Amino acid sequence: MLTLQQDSLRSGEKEKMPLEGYNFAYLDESTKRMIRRGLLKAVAVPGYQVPFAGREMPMPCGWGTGGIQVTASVIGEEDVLKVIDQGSDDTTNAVSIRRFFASTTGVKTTTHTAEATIIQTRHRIPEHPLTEQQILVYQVPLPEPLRWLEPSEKETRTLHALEEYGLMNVKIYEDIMRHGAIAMSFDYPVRVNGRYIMSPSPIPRFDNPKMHQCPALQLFGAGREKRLYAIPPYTDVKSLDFEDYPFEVQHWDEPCALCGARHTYLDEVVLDDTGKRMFVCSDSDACAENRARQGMTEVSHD
Amino acid sequence: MNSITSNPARWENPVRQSQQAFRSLLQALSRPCMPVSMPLPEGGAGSLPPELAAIALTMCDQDTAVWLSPSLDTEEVRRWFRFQCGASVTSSPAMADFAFAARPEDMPLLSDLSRGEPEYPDRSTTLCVGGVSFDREGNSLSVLASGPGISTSLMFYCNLPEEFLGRWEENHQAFPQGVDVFLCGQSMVAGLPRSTCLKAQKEETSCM
Repeated sequence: MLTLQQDSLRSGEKEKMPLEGYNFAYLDESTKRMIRRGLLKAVAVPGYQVPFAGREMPMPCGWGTGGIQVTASVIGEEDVLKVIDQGSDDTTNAVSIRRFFASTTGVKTTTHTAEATIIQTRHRIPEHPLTEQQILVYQVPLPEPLRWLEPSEKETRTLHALEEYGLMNVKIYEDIMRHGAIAMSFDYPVRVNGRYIMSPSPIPRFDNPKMHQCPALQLFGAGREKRLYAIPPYTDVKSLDFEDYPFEVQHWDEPCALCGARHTYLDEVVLDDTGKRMFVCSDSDACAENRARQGMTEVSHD
Repeated sequence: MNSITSNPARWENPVRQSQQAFRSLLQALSRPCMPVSMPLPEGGAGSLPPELAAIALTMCDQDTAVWLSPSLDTEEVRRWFRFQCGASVTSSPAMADFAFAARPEDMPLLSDLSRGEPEYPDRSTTLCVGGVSFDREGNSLSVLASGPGISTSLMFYCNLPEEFLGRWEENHQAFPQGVDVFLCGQSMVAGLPRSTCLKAQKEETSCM
């Protein structure tokens, strides 16, 4: 209750001043420089995981500390920030990170994809096509796509260095043998620029094709694992597959129950204990925009 | 020496300006061969061009070793690096995190710089070259650039020596190891990450 009151007070203020006693965007300048050096290397070697000295952040690991450190190193006063968690602007993680940057930088925040210059995301790529002027920052829990297959970091580094990705092919092959199809529905590994195999963070595989030749710069930060990586704009990103078992995205039989969209990623919402359910857009901003375009009224959350 | 002690190159507002300069560098490297403007510091740093001073103030600190080309390797510039950045100056280009050359003629051989290790290609040298002009007219090098960050391909003009193309090809072939280059001049910076492929092109007639 107290936090809610503070939040409404803050949003009521005319000018937004950054929090006193903290550096702009929370991190100190030498930490930013260290992360910035890492980001430049990450962009130069697309898909390669650059180690960095991840800092303690004022929130626990798993809440997007990697993405926050990347955003903090990149963001400037003129930027407009959007934060999403599973496509939604109004979930706990998204709200707390957006509030964190609003108070430590004073930058403008938005929920509209088209207005944002930096979009920090947890587990989704917005439905609205991204532009060259935008930077997409991913929060990554496990940056190493080979980790479930090979627990040793020393080994996986060697495998990446030698471009020895047979293990991953075997894993996909076993999936097909066991399930008749490639059974990874999220965090579906990709090959970047024909070289490194990379974890796209736990985005649904529905979003994988959006990474290919994307006009926006994509930066990835893993706070617990202390890794940075990147996909520059207009870079080939190929989801792993076999010729006879090509990569496919998820499909739904019904449209979004709120806006009627047919080509968006849908979340299943359980309505009661008798098995009633509905499917709605996971991207809350795209869904609201769709409804506004069709002249529908804002759905009440009460 | 007096000029530098009285008015050394530094940011008026370090937090804001180094962020802006970093975004210029990030954009330059993620969209190779497209020069972008960058903020420049007030004041002088001896013979160090202002664009290189901006990169140094943004990227270098006590954790980075810096190599200076012979024309930059003066007491004035070394002192500026030590005091304004806290960076240590090394005489071995292969040991440097950042190498600075005042003009294209002063560039070290790319093969003398560190390319990183196969497991850690990020442990490489970043080369920053000043005095570069990006004009189409009267420049010695016109190349067709392609690779990550470039939609299909684009023409790039600069005053690097022609021998550079062969050296760059060798550097590019070593991917993922390799040297990244920032070309600076005319208050602009253009990035040349190791992933970029450069092909000599005399006229803009045939694009593949």
